[in-house]
Amino acid sequence: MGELTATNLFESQTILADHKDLIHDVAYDFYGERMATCSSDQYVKVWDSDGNGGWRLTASWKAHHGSVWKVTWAHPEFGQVIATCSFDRTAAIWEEVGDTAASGSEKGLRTWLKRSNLVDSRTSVTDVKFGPKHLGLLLVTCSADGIIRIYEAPDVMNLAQWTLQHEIPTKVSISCLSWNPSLSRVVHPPMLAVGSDEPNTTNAAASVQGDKTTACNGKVFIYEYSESSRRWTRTDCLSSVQEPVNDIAFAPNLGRSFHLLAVATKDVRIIKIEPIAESAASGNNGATVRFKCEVVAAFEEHYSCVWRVCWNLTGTLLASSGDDCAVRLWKMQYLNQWKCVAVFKNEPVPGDSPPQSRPHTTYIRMATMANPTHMPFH
Amino acid sequence: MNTSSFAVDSSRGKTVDAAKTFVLPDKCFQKHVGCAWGRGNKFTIYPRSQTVNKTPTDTADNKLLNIKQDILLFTPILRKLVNESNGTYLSLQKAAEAAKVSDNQVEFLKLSRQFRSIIRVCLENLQEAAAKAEGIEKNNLLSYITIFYSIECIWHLCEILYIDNIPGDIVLPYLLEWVRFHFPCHEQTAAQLLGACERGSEDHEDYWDTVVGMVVQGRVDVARALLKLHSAGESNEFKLVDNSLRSMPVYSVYGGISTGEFTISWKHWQAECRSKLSSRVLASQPKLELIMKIIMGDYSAFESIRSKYSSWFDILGGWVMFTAPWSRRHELGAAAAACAGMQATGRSHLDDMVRALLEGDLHQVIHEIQQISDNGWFATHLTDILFHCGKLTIMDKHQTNVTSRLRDSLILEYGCLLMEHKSLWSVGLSYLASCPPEGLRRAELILERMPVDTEAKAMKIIAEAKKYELIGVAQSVCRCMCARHLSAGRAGGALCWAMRGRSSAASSRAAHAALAHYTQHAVLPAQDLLLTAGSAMLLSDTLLFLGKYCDFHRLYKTREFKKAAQLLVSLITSKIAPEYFWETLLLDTLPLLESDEPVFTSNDTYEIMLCLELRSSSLDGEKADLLRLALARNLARTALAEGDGTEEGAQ
Amino acid sequence: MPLEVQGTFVSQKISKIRWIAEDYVETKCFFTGSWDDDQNSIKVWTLESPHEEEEVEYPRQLSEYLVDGDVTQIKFTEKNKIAVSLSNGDVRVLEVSLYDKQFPLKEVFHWKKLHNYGAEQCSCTSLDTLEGDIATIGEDGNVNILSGRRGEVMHTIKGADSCSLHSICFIKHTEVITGNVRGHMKIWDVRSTNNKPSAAFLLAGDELAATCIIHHPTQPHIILAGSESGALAVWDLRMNSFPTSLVNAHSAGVSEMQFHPENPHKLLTCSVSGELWEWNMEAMTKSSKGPDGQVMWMPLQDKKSMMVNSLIPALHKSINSLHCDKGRILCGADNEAIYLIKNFKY
Repeated sequence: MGELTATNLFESQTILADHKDLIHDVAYDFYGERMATCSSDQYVKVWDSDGNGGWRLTASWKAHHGSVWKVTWAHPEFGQVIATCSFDRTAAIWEEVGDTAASGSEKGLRTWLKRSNLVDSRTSVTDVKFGPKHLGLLLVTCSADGIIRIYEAPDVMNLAQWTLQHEIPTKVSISCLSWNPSLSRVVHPPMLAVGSDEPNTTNAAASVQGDKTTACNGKVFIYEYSESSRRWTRTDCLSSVQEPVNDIAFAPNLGRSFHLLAVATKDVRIIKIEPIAESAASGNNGATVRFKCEVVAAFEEHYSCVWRVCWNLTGTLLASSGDDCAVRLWKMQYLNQWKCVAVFKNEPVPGDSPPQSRPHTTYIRMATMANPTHMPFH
Repeated sequence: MNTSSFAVDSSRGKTVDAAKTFVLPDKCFQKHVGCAWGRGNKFTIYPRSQTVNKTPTDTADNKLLNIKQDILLFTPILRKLVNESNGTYLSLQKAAEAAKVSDNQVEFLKLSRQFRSIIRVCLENLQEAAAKAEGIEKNNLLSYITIFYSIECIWHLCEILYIDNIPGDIVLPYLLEWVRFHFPCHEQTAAQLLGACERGSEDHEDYWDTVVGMVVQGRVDVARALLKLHSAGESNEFKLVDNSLRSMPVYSVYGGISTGEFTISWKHWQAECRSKLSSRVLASQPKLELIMKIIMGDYSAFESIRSKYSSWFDILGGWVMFTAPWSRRHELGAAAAACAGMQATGRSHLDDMVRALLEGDLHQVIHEIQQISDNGWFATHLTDILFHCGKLTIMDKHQTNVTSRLRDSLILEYGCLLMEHKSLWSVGLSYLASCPPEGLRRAELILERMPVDTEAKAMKIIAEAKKYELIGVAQSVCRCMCARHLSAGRAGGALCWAMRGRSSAASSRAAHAALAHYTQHAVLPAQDLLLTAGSAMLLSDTLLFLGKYCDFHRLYKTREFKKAAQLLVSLITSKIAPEYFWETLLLDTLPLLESDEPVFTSNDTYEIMLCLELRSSSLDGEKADLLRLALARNLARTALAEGDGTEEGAQ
Repeated sequence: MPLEVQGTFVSQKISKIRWIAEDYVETKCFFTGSWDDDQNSIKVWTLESPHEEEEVEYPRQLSEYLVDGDVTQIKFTEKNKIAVSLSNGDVRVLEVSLYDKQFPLKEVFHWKKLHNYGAEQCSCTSLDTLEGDIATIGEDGNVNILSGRRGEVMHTIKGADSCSLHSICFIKHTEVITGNVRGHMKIWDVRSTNNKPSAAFLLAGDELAATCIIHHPTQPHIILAGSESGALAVWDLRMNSFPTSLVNAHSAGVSEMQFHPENPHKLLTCSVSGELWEWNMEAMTKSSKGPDGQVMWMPLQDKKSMMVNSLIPALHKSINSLHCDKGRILCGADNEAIYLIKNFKY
């Protein structure tokens, strides 16, 4: 009887990005059919799936006057729209213009027009994200000087017009943000999580005060929008995260009563945020406790700073990447425990030099590392 | 992804569920990396830096690496298995629903057999393909065959032990059948020898192995027939063994005797055999001696033949038959331990699964079958059927029953996996839908993101979404279709999909686009649609306005000027016209004002005048003056006519 | 003999299935077209018994013709030639060898991007054929009349509909009827150049698509249309106004309809809800005089009075296509299977 467990489980495909500098972000569109990349070379590129597993470059343009940090897609209900943010202190909204007799169209190139340039920030804009579509066409940016800005396009047909709805100062450098994707507006008010990469000095810690919350050394803040006061307020600060944060991401809600937030800091963390019922929460001095937060997982396997955390579509797998030049996949088991299910590494196998890169678009099978301890049985 | 198993501490602790490490090709990432998820199981790894200060980089660090899971079930042959088993799975869910009110075990058994026949057909297809294939392709197919042989074997045993209705729970006949079916060792030789029916068959090199094999498989009659073909078959020694085989008591629930009574006659028969053996009459025939020892359930005899078989399953049936034929189906653990212990070789994965099954440790069985690389097909379907049969109980460390959670998690994962496939998505959806509420929430996320390249696909997605009452998905697909038509400037398609999605915002957007198109090109798009649309026109004010405006065009074209004029006035006075459309609306009055017969009453004319003054900014001076003049002239002639009283029924 | 149903899994969702007519012997071969897969194709199959002595026949693939996009319609232009519409906007005429069906299909004509949104792709959603002529429709709302003999576009009705067209049927050589995504039906004189329909009416008030249209084999003025809602509508085109009779039939969209070629009273329908029904339509075609002396037709209000039979237990997935030849019916479904139903009484 042969071996029942397979050794080849993954296939890989290399794409030459052809950016002239470091790539900072890769974002897929709603359908996973288009991919946008941005880089320190100040360019943004859009790649389209050719339907046969390959990717074709369909647009490439100089988008900013500085490194482009992040790129993100709007919901397709609003058309083909992306937003970028940059070291040049701006964020920009781009729209693809439908098939025209433009010069590049024969070559399969498409035109993206800058519809709006958001210039309110005085420092580098570190992250940009479109809001959940049921809130309308919303955009949030954050900047190195710690200001969160929420913009709205009142007329979705007119992407040139964005009004700055809210400006929320946080007093610490903000590196990343994530919208809570919960669709239930009744149960969950609009919610944002932001992460700070402020180094841990005593000064910084002391300065993190204000609002109505008490001093908190945490690096992740939760903001919620109140319909009644029409304001965004900081409703929590996750004291469990004390180290600078590089990335955060809410998992899809799937109708749960709680939210899961992945945090990339000195380790990979998964934090369960459970809203506490109004009646039980209201204190007498107005300082209410909104959430019960619990670190459900903290993984130090990267042995280094973690840069990125990213959920798959259904929130069942979390990918993380760190300074160890490895990507790890974490999966929730049926009893809600999380464990690592795969590691992707660059380490060359001794005595076996991997094939040189070829700019092809077919998938090739990947071999598992020749390490007997990784195989369950033989 | 099915690379994992659950993390509950396994009682055996045999397996180390370490994550697998994969080596990225190309050595392309020297520094930091980032990652981004695409659709389904695809994600991208890219080189990434957090440093603000630009550092010169080598362009070698400039590759994206797309990684995707390799899914065996997506190969064409296995897609048949996926589709066919989906039908059986859905029937099983119905049967389980029915089982809530009445016992439905017979139906479950029928469905379990159906699953096995699906596996059998799949194996036949794989063998047929493997016979034709070459190279890597052949190797792959052979490894699939190995996988599905094991699955068939385990499923069958599971069916015997947990699903089948066995009279008195006496498992032996079923166990023998299982051994014969899956480990048909020596069967061919036996058939050959019996077919030839020649005296002196012992010349065949496998003669004795075959005879012993038949005994071990419990085919006593075949063994006796073979013994008769021996050239010394008529000798006393042979007759003695034949007699012992013939007189062996066979236990049957319907035999009318109790286990106790049976045990007495069995013991008696064994004593007889023992005395024959100790009388040393068989000393000249060591093979016959071996057979006698085997039928007496002698451990060392079994041990001595163990090496002739590839696995201990081959001798399991014989061992039970000759040591404890009255065993009930949940009393096989000891027999399994005895047989497995006869030879100290490395354990195979199948060994572990069969052992766990015979010991009744279903938790461990499921844990083990999750390691099979069939993308969870087997674990999902087997767990589901055992769950519905009420045979599966799994406790967590707090002794809470988590069986349904285990079942759900497997189905959810399998369903999501299939939903990634271009064609199998509808199969995946039916799995997710059978697992509410989370299944439907997941289905919602995936379904909404299904790439839609044709309207036929959109309509199919909407039909499926409606089937499972995922109205939000249906509406979202419509709105996205609307947006796509809008950005391409196709007003008809945009209006149609906005109305189909009953979306107020989208229909208002589409209507604005149509009106804007008219102001620029003087052609009103989608008139066929607007003139036949029903209550959907009420979705938004703009759409309603557009519809009425279109009707105004129709009336004007058919030269029903009076009606056209009335409609136009009502559009002007209703004030739902968008700002940019006032110019058009006001100028549309001009030809009607200039018509031979006055069509606006004086009141109408006043209304238009009022609007013109209120909205003077929408018209440039020259046009406004022209309109004022026409209005004044019309006022003059209508006032005259109305004053005469010749004006017939104004409204 | 009772109905015999036999399913075969083919690893492709089948969008269209068609018997290949034979002259003197029982039909054995058929076409399938697939959809919604990474690689779609048109296949030729034959029915054969793997073992001589066995009665059971299984489909065996004879040839495969790969196409881009989904196969949206297959209709015969001649005995051995089919017109195929594809979701990439192409229309092809393919020929199967009369003598050796195993021989690969030969391409006779190929209209690339016949339906299009300029540079962007647009689905050719269906076509109909009549005496060698082909009428095609697309999501672009255009109608094209092609000659299947000369391979040329004879006439185009640009913007026949502002929405996408989903079904088409030749009423006569010079007249076609189209149905759009909203159930808006239009009749076109293909000789006319004014791009205006000669008549237009709605399938139902629900604004759902007209998924298929056929006419009665012996009374071509009787038109039947299937709706996305599962309803079936009948018109008598001799009437000036178009009184329609609408039956709520299937629980989801009607995917294909066919009158039995040998018995015009038998109608077969299949649906997205996985049902395959036979209808006794005898009553429908018996016209009677109404109270005002006008020719009335049988209202289809009650489908029970129509004698509807379900031929197979409903599948869990959509049945997309059916084709009947004497006592045998072929079905293609979204569960990646084809079904052969034998001993059908007609």
